[in-house]
Amino acid sequence: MKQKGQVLVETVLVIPFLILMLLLVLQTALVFTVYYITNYASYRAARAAVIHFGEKESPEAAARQAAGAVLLALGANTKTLGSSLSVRSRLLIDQYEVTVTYPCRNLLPVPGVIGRYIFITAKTCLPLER
Amino acid sequence: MKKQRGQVLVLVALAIPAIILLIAFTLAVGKLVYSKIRLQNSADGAAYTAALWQARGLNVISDLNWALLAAGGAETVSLRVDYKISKAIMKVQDGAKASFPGVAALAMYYNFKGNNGGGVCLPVVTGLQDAKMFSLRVKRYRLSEKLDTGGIIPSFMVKEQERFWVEQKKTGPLIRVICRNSAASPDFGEKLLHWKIPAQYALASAMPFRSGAESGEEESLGGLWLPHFYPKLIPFGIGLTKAVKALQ
Repeated sequence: MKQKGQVLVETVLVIPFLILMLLLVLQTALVFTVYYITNYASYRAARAAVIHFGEKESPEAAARQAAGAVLLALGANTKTLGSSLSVRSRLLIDQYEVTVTYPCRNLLPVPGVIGRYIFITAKTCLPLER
Repeated sequence: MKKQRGQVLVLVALAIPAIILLIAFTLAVGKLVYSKIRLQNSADGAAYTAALWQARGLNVISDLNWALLAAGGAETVSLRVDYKISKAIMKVQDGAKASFPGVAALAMYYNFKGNNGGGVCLPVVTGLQDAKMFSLRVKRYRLSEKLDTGGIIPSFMVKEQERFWVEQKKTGPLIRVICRNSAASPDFGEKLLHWKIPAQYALASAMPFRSGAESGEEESLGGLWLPHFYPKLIPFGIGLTKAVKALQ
């Protein structure tokens, strides 16, 4: 009987770690998926900026719209997109660089270390024609 | 006691497939995004290449306009009114007008195949205007039909619709392509889970631009007197209204 209880205690001790490990794996998968999507959004944004460069519409606005369109198509929330999406673009000498930052939900219960969101940043640099 | 020892093992055994599934899903999403980006880059490259060959054709015609002017002038002055050299140059110009669009189409196709490795690249034709996509949209300019019977007097090439050529992008020698990736397999989960990368589409559009067109520089004499055309990707209308609304 005594030994039976020991195993139970062991199990109880191990299970939180196990759940944490599972959450870690889930979180890693989530972060990578959001990273891929953000990367694609930054690519589309940079492409839009390069194509609209030198036209009436500013390349920054075109980049932001293109990134927003990608995230919306892939299931971003319409209401919070405007506040959560951050698109920074800058002109290098003959290249246009767009950095997109988008929050990813945090599943790991480690308060103080990671906040509610993990911010994923992706950067794309495309050459300007001419 | 031995039976109870396996309790965690059961949990782990349940968790491991889930973990593998998650990792496979992540990798599949990565490959999906990668193939989409490659397709878009290939589509851009295809449209750009076609516009590049059109720009080259226009530049060749522009150069030959000057050659024609010089040859026609010289032949008139030296009273060689059969205009042999001028006619030869006109023939070359006609050849450039006829052949460069075909070269552009071929270059577009092979550029896409080389960059994407597979798939289909087709021009987009939505109307009669687009049906002339692979043409330079230039024509011979004759001073007068009465004077020039039988093409004796050398005649230059001008843009077909000078006024609208660059300003209204639809009427220029605009290239619009739609590219399609054939359905592919992600590297993981293909057999077991029947995951598939679906057929993807990408649109791209390009046309030869005249340098200085943005700054509002005036064109003169049909706009084919300076060989200063270069290819440029131009925006292809895509539905951004939802994004615009959400970001306001």
